Amino acid sequence: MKSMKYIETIYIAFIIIIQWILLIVIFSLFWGIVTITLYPNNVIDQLVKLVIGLTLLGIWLLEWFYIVNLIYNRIRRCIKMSLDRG
Amino acid sequence: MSNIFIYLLFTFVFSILTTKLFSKIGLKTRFIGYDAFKRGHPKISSMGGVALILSIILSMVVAYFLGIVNDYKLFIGVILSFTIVFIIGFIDDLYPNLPGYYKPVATMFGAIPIILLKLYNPILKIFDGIVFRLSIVYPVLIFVSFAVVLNTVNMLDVINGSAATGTFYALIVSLIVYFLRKNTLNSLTLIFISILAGFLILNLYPAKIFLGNSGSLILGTMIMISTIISKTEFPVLISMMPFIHNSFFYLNKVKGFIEHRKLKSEVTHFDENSELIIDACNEDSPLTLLRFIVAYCPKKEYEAFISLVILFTVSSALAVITFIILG
Repeated sequence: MKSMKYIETIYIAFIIIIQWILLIVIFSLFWGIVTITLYPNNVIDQLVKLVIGLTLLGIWLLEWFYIVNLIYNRIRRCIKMSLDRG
Repeated sequence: MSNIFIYLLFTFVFSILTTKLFSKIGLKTRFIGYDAFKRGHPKISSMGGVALILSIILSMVVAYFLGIVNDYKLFIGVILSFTIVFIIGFIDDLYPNLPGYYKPVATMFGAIPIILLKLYNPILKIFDGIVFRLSIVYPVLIFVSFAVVLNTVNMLDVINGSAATGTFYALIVSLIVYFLRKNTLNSLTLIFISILAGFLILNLYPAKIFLGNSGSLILGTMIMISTIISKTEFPVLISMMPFIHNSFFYLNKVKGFIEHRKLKSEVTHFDENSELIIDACNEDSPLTLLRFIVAYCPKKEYEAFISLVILFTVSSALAVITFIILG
């Protein structure tokens, strides 16, 4: 048990690394989309960039939510199983 | 160069003295909090915000007269922004039953001096090759970011020193990235770091002073101003991932702006005998960072703090790596 003391911290650190990689991918994707589809500086252009950017960030957050819940439920199942075994 | 280090030593010592003073004064006023994760829940002064604002104002005035901060617009903008945010937080400390949307809406006003005095550069650089010119949208983003960042820092003020340590890491990232880019240190970020270092001595476990809402909002303002002035938005965003995790899961479950103390179900439970923080295992509670950290193995408060420090170190390292690899 002592060696498992910081296991959740390691899980979250792992999730942070995954999210970091995905954030870089998302911004690269975002850049790809806006440079291909949009013309330079005006209000519409900037608003469209904002909407596309926020949509991608929304997807990123939802995926984060999914991973964390998945791992948390797994931790809870492990505890429940060990408690059932006595 | 030696002058600035003497000055930083002065701000550090002044911050310790002010914090120590208000850790005593607070106990004689209504501004007290109860340490939830200690046996007997001792009373602690929650006047950290007052100590911080006094340290900031005095440090900025001295910095201006010494020529360390020589732009008068920057000097006025920074002081006004911190003062507005402090007043917003202080009102929340005075009247704890304000509606949940008060802080997210009111904290936007902290951005007004930065925008009116044009202390920003509307070019948002993600990394080399990915640069956005957002002359119209950038001021709007500052407004929104003030509300998001200030409240995000406020939400992670859950154990002794947690919010202040996270802010310290974000400021260090901002300082390192600025140094790597310009080969010089940003004096404003250095001032914030030395003030915060002095404050942390009394705010770390076992805390002698709490931040209060005014203090945690001031920390968020430090991050925002340092990031905007030194143009380190993307690395600081990465260094703040533990903050994002915490506030996103809170908002996702609660579905609105509700204060921690007004939650109907317990998130974590404190066992007085073992002094362990335990996951309350309520289905209705948000999966906050602290809850996740103690989910498998209940922890003492300082162990939970070590976990947070590990996470801040990982995310800050990633932030610096991003800049080194991608520019």
